Amino acid sequence: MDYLKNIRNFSIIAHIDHGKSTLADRLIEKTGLVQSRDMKEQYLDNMDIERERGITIKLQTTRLHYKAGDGEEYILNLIDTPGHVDFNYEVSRSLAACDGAVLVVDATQGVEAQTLGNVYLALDEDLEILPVLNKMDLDSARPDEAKEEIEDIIGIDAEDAPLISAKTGMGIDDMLEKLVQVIPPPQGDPNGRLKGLIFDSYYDSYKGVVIYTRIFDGSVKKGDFIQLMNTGKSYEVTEVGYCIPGMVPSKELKAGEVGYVCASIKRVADARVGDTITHTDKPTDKPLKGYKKAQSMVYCGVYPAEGEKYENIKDALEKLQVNDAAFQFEPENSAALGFGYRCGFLGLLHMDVIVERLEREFGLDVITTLPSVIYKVIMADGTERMIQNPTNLPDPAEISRIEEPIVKAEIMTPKDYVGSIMTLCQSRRGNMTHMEYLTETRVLLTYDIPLNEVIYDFFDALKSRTRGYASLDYEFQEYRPAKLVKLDILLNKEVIDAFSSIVPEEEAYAKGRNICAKLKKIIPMHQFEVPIQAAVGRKIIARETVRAYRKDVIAKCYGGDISRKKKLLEKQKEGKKRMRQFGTVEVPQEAFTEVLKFDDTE
Amino acid sequence: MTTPNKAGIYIHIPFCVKKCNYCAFLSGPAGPEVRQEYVNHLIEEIRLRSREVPEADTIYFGGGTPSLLTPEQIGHILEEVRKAFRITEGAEVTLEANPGTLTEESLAGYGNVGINRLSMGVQSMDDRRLRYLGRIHTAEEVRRDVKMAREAGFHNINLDLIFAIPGTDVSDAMEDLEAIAALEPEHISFYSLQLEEGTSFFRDFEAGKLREVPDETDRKMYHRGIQVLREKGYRHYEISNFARPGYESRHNSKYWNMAEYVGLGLGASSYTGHRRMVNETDLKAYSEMLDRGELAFMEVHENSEGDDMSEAVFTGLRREEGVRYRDILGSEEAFWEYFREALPEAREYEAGGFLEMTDEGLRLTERGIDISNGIMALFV
Repeated sequence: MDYLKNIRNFSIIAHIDHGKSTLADRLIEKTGLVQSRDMKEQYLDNMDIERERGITIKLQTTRLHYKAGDGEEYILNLIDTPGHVDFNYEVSRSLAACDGAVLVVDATQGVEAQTLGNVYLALDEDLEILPVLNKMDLDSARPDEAKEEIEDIIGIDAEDAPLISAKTGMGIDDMLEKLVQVIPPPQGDPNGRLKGLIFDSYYDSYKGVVIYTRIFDGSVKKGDFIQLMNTGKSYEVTEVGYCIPGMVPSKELKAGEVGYVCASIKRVADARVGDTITHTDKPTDKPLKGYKKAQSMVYCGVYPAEGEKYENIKDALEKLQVNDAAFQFEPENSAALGFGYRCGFLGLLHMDVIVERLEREFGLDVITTLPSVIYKVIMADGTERMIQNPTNLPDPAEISRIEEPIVKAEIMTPKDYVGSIMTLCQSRRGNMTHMEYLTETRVLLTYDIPLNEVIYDFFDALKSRTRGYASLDYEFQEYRPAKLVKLDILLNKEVIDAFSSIVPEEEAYAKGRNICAKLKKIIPMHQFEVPIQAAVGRKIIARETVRAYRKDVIAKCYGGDISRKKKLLEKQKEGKKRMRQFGTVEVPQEAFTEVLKFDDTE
Repeated sequence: MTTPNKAGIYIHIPFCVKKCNYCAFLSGPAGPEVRQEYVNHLIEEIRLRSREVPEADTIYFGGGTPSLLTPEQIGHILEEVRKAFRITEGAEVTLEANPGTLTEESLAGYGNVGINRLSMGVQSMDDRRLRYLGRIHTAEEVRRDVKMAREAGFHNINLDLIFAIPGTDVSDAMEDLEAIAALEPEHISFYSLQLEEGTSFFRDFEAGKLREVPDETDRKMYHRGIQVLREKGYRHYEISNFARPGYESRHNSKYWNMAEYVGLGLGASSYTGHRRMVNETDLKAYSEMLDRGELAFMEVHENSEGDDMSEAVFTGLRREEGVRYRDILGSEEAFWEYFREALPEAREYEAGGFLEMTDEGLRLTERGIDISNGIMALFV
């Protein structure tokens, strides 16, 4: 079992732009796996969208070789983590596969919220944490202050934190040395019964589902029959190996190691993150803890835009689903938008990412409707209906009551922001159930809050009110009755069903006004006046008008700069292509998501 | 597509006394040494680009404030231009000149070296508004400088006027317009304030400290202005330009009828040989490229036939006479065959009274100008 002492399994934890991906790039480069000249920037983020947004959704795992100062050669398994509250569960499973984590703090910015949320997840998994201070090449770096923050806010010793610059490569060797000293080697019994944690999986069209796993006990090799304990299904292993990156087959994977397993599994939904792999004939006695079923929390309609084919959307959704266990869809139709699909997501970011992938990877032109949670409607005759689409809300006369999903939200924050968070949660119908000082300066607030209030822009509002310092985690709790009504939006006197939403009765007025005001800004001038109205039942509760007059002229064409003017016109034309016709009114497609955007002036 | 055969020469002078609050041009204050050095580089560029067009009949010094250069410097540049390019006898030679930078001597000097048209950035005739805009002169100085220019022998003068200055109403704009017209310039540029990124106004706007004039008011000012100027005998020959008959800016017209122009100097735009070029916008880079004897282009775009076509339409639509099918694609049928996707919407604009469509061509109506971007975008 000697081999274990030369393995280190770790993650990198960092706030969004504190340099996680750049550091990962540098490590890969330093340990000689990818030649500098072949380095794409941010090697680990391999989806375009991730690269652009600087976030990681699908994980990448890399096995690095490092020869340390003590003359020993170490295998460093770098396990990536996604970076958003929608994917908290996935983050926790990635961390569960590690024995330690490198905490990257931007020496010019100090500790920030996301860092903190993930640090707590890491501490939950009993990981050893190695803090490092990044961006030391910048003049504005303040390492001493950043160290103090790490010690005060997170409560870990940062005295000897390596000072690095992932960008220039400074301090990376020192960091690697520290890493092998601080992060403990894995433990486990290679001769015990197989127990492996699935921390990610994806679909490969040749190999079927590729499972990323950390083996805790036992070993697995080609030809073994394995069982996924939570789904209960068994498969024959066709290949095991290491991610170097890129899949390199090996004879076996044994306790302490990180690698991949292929077993002709057809859908990623069958190899869900968090599940435990064991041998079918000699199973381990109980699965690893922490498994949760994927559950869609947010739904929205996805429709073909003008000129797009319904079948193309169906094909694309099917392809995406193969690779995304948390994504669901079924057909529906809308009077305004025609035939489309109702899709279920983990959260709003997950939704954005899927929609963007439809547009970019599949080149589709789609319209998405207001996201909604699932409401439980108890009819007058006692029957129950689950409503995912506000348009389908039955006539109020037939309804006995409506129930909405409530989540338990845990918000971690420096104590200075407790007041403004309480105000925010109150305005979102939250109910505080618990408040606890974790340290002198850090507070944990626990709220019962309607999921509907969380999905729209709660996270943005929270970040904005706490300068990004608060972190949020939430999980479904139960359905509770609430006074809810359907809010309709009318353009030029016609109800546009795709804009309908279910809102608390007492907020209908404010929400109606807000949506009308936003639409007024988005809807372009027409050759006639366009009234925008919000209504509950027959009653109009808010109104705006898009005047038939809006200046749209370039007054002066300076110094023959025709190119610039042309670009402007091209942009305008592009924008027009993305308009959707409702009767006589043209609405830009982004209107559907724009009306939801966080607006702190509310 | 037929192209007028004589080109224009544009020369950019990126210096001013002080940056105005609304100005997004490449321009800033600089000392005499920097200016002289710039003139030297400019001359280098003129030499490098000699014979780029066969013949030019307009020369235009734009800025910035070109009148910060001495008559000698302007004369020197003109001399080099005449060596490098064939310049038509009687060419229009314009200098943008700012009130507050002119003297009797300098005006006489500019006349002597060949400037025959002045374009003065007046912008308002109200001292409070002038200060708000960040202008360096008063209304009284404008009157004095225009008079001085007349005495120095300038018979072709343009005055620039901005309307829709934040906080103004229609009567303010008309007051400015009347005061400008009272100076009896041959040409008036009357244009709506645009908030451009990077300006001090824009920052104020973002910070909520500046409120734009509402669109309705802006357009009232514009249409009222057109009426006033028309009554005074000015022809509204381009969206923002008005002239006494025969005094239309020949140089600016080149931008609107696809004539060639050679843009010289920092950030200047050129259109020659069906290519659109933009010069380097960084002074250091511009200078270094010329020191190495290289052309200072930052962007070069080879126009396709389609590019030329759509540019001809959208620039042509800026003119009162609009575009003629014949000039662009030979015939009405050919034009609408090429732009068939634009036709249904063009018909809608026609029905709405925004666009005039005859069997000869297209032109914007006065109302059409207000929403001209949408109409022009049909053709790009």
